[in-house]
Amino acid sequence: MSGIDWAVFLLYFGAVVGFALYHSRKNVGIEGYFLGNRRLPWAAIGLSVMATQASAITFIGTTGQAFEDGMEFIQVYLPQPLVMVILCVLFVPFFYKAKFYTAYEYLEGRFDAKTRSLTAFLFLVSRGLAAGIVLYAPAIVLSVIMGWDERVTILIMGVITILYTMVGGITAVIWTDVIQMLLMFVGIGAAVVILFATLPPEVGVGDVVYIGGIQEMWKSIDLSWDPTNRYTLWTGVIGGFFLALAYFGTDQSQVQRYLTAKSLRQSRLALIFNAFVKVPMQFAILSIGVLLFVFYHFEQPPLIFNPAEVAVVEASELGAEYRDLTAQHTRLHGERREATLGLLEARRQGGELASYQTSIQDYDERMSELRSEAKSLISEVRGAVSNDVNYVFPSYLVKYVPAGLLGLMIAVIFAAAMSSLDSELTALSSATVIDFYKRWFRPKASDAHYLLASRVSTFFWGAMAVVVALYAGRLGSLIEAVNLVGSYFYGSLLGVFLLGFLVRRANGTGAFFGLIAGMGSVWIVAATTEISFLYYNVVGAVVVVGVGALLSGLSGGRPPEVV
Amino acid sequence: MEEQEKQPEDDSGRIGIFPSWNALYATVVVYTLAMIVLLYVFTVLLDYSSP
Repeated sequence: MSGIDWAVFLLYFGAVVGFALYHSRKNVGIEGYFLGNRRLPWAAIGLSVMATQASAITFIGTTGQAFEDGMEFIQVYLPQPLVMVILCVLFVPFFYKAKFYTAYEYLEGRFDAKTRSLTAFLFLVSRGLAAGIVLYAPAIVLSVIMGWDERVTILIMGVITILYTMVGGITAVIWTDVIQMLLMFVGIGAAVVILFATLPPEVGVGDVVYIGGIQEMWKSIDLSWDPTNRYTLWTGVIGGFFLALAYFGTDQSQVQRYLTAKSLRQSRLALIFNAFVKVPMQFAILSIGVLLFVFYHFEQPPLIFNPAEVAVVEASELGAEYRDLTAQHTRLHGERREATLGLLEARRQGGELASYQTSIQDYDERMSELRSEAKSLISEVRGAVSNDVNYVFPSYLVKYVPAGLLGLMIAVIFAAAMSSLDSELTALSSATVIDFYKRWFRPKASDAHYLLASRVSTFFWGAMAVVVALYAGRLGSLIEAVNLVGSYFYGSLLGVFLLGFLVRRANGTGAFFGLIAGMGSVWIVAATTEISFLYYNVVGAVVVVGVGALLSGLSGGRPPEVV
Repeated sequence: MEEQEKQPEDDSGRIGIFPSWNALYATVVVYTLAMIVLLYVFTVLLDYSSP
């Protein structure tokens, strides 16, 4: 990076820390620390909800995914506006009017202490480890692409985020999320402009759309009914609906955001803001991937974008085979480039296009096959599946983006990671202190004591995230197992809340054992079928509500006086 | 007291250009359906895979 890139980068960190300290100065007591004294405006909360969801891997991973598969991933996001409406109508009034600190408090009031503690425990375990991945994933990508030591990247992101979150609590988190999210918007816009600017001058917007369309890269809706495919409208709408409802409605890292609002109206407006903005934003991020696909019709793409994987495979006994694939890939790119330029010229002259299109499709397919073969070689050498999609966009940034803008784009990746991590830390801290420490160990302590405990808890979870990130490379399959287990109980957690909201006679016994039955059934479905993991959330939620209602009925239901 | 003052703001009155919450929610539903239709049209119109 050049001097101007470093200046932009340091300006970002200065702005984040300054903004955090400025906005946290009025925070007093535990309500200020976890809920910002319930005084925050909807626009800030709305941007924070968005920033929390958009991690660095969302930013760099989905662009890579669109580079390979096109726009179809957008279908997973389509039900989110409807989810926001359901949250506004069903979830938010319950949480907001009872003045809860955490989502899980509701479950004790509605069911019993064991159901609350089990759900809070599941949240802590999954999110505690996931916070480490939020740091690790972008650090490993930046270390490979920029040559930075991943430990230094993890420590810089981790320490700064821990410090401002510890000192400023949720107010600092939400206001820094605002500038981080605005920076991401600027980054998305800048990426689109840069991509167009780095195309050959004779290639216009219409040409870009046309070249993407030849390979169906703009295909955003797939109406097929295949339940094993996660990129169909039905999987997206049904599975994505339950996933989004579980995430926004029961995950403390999101619920905590809308509990900080000045009023119920402001909470709802924050969610409605997301309903309108989220899908267009995701569309823009995915478009960057398609633009990259088109861009590499004119510039030589690497066969594999991750230089670390290339180095490993080239040094192995399969090195000669890999180099042969690279040579074929380079040759095919040259021929495809000529065919693409020929196609554009024929379009301008009103000439015959079919033969050019057919050849470009053929080249695309053969180059894609070479890429798959190269990934197989890497998997064989490394004993792990290649995750090259995460390197497509950062690789482009380093090679083609001009000085100053590179610093901005790297700051965007940092902002995406830090805005997710800070939200995780406040959520983990609030669940630890409110759902466990205050509930089971020190119910009558002073506000100052809880504030201190909250800061200690934030530090603990932050340190845990840093340690997990530092050792994530060695944890390997454990990390995958954690992610997998998380997807197993997300829908079941949603089921417990739906049972509470919708089944008036449901009781604690039904909820607790319904939750266990839900997680067990998801486990069985995952082990015995090939359906997309997005449907696990549907299975979990439906089984919990069904079994919970049945067991509640068999165990006498809820006492009439509390129904 | 503060909560009582906020209550009317929460449950009634206009929300910007929308006369009520239900009107706003209905707009979100229509918006979602319109996006799906738009993306479908986009999918069909920008498919140049057949020569």
